[in-house]
Amino acid sequence: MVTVRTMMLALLAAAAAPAAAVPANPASGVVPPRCDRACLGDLLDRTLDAMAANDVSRLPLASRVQATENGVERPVWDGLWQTATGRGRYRLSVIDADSGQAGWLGTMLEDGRPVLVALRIAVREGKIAEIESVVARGGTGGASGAGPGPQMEARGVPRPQFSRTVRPGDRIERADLVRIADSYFANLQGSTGRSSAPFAPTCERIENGGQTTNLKTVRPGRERFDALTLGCEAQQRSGFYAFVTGIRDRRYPIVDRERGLVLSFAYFDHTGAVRDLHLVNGLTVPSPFRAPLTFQIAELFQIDRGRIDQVEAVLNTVPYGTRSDLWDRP
Amino acid sequence: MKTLLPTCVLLLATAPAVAAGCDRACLEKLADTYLDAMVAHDPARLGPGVGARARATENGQVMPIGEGLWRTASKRGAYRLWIADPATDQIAFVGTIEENGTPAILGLRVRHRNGQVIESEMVVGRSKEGAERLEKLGRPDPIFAAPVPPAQRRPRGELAAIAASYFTGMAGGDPTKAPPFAADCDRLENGTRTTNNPELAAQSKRPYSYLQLGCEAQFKTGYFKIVTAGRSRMVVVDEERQVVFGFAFLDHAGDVKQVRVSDGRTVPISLLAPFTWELAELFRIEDGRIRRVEAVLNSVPYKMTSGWGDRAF
Repeated sequence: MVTVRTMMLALLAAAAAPAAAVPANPASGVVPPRCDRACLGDLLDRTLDAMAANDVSRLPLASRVQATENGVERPVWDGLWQTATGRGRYRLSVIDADSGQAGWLGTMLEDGRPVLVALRIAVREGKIAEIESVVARGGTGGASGAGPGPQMEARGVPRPQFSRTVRPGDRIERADLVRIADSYFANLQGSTGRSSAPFAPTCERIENGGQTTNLKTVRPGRERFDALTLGCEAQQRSGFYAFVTGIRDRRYPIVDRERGLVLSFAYFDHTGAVRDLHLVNGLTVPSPFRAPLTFQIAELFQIDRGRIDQVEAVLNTVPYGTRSDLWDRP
Repeated sequence: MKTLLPTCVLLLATAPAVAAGCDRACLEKLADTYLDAMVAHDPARLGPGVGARARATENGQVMPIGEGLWRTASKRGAYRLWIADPATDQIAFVGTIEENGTPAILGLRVRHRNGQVIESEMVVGRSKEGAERLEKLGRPDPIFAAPVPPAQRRPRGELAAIAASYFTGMAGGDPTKAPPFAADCDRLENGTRTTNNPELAAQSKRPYSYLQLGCEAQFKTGYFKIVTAGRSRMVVVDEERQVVFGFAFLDHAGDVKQVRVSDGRTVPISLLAPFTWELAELFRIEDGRIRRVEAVLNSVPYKMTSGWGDRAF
């Protein structure tokens, strides 16, 4: 993976080299050209176009490209790259020129039907070296039960907060953005309800196309307690999420300081061994999961003045304990 | 071997250590101990440190014995099918198990060394309906447990090759590569009979169904062209009963849009998305032909691997 450190080293090298000097010694290396915001956005767009055309040859690929779909390593051209039939309407980009990476949440058409995709590309020396995708084809899509793809396609455009430009003076440091995003997972796993990530009061979350915060209607069978009728902070302070027994292999590869966005990847483990959830309000309700279950998740956080505002996730049920073939190995 | 048995059982009952040459009864006892320990959520019953030292996977993911199904299994089911392979110190099991009260299907392989579990490989099919169907059957088809007279047995290598040809013959759907099947061959998949089952075929909402056909006829339709690749390992061979147990993945790239089947029709394929079946599957082979097939299967991420070194095809 392209790390911030690698990129920083490259930038330092660039700063140290005289502007017009040609290195006499090949060992001093070639300074990689920086792929800026526009360049990354363009490569992202070209990647999605190439995917829709089932034609990987259109892309400037590094000699060794690493690619996964839903955590499984496979050739770039395989998987959704063979079955995509077009691009969908829903498109949300996250650009991180410091790490040379770009992310995207949106819809693609597969066999003519919308599927929800989270995509990450890493660019090295102007070439795409990594392509990671999480493709949600099924799943409950929150409360409504329609598939993730059709729901996001119907939504059409992302919430405006995701494309809001933060004034340069108000931009949060990369490390702080990552820390805030991580606090979402840290407070959710094994939740006791005694603490919470910092949330804006306007926070809303959409998971696989379905709204999972502030639902106006209690879902059938959850009359005693329905966590999804609560807001972001109230959910984390409810004590309900104790059944999420671990959130592991958390990565924050794409941080868009200009927009206050962090695109993360993680796995939610549920051992299935937690039977009762003791809520802060005194109620005890049964855990929704009584068998081992893991969600693979790509989750996007929009952070406003130090607080998580909008959250959007693409997730899949995967075998319990699944790790990515490439990105989480030590 | 019979004379060794009481000693072997006694040793297992007191401490999980057995003499060399653990035969069928000894292996079944070992697996019984394993499953009882699992339902008790107590890996220590396998011996001190065994759970942590053994290489173990559940649905292709590495995790210590004691995690996953070991934390949720609540009761053993009645449906139990054993595949004993004393020559390789392995036993396999296909059967039912309850998980916090909900029935599931388990395909299990255990390898021991001197009575200590050193490998555990599980495919847990969390199909409540499938498990309930197996429980309703009550017991496996007796054909699986019927010994084959020594003179009629095929060597283990040949048995494994026949079982492996089931998967390699399926991928690509080439009718000429169908494995050898007995005329009365039948198959259970997650507790459902998926051969010679016209009732099930009539329920199918797809434009084409092969479920009414027998094993060989299904392969001869060419429909399995939708299976584009896979990986398999035929690891446990019960020579006495001529049963092979193995693991496989069947990849569906989702790029086969239609198939011209053997009756001349061109059938549109309704699900054009990449996915993979993960299977634990067993085969009873008689006279070099597959007579019974039984599988536990899960839909898993496309092109997933098991981590046990499957052979790609």
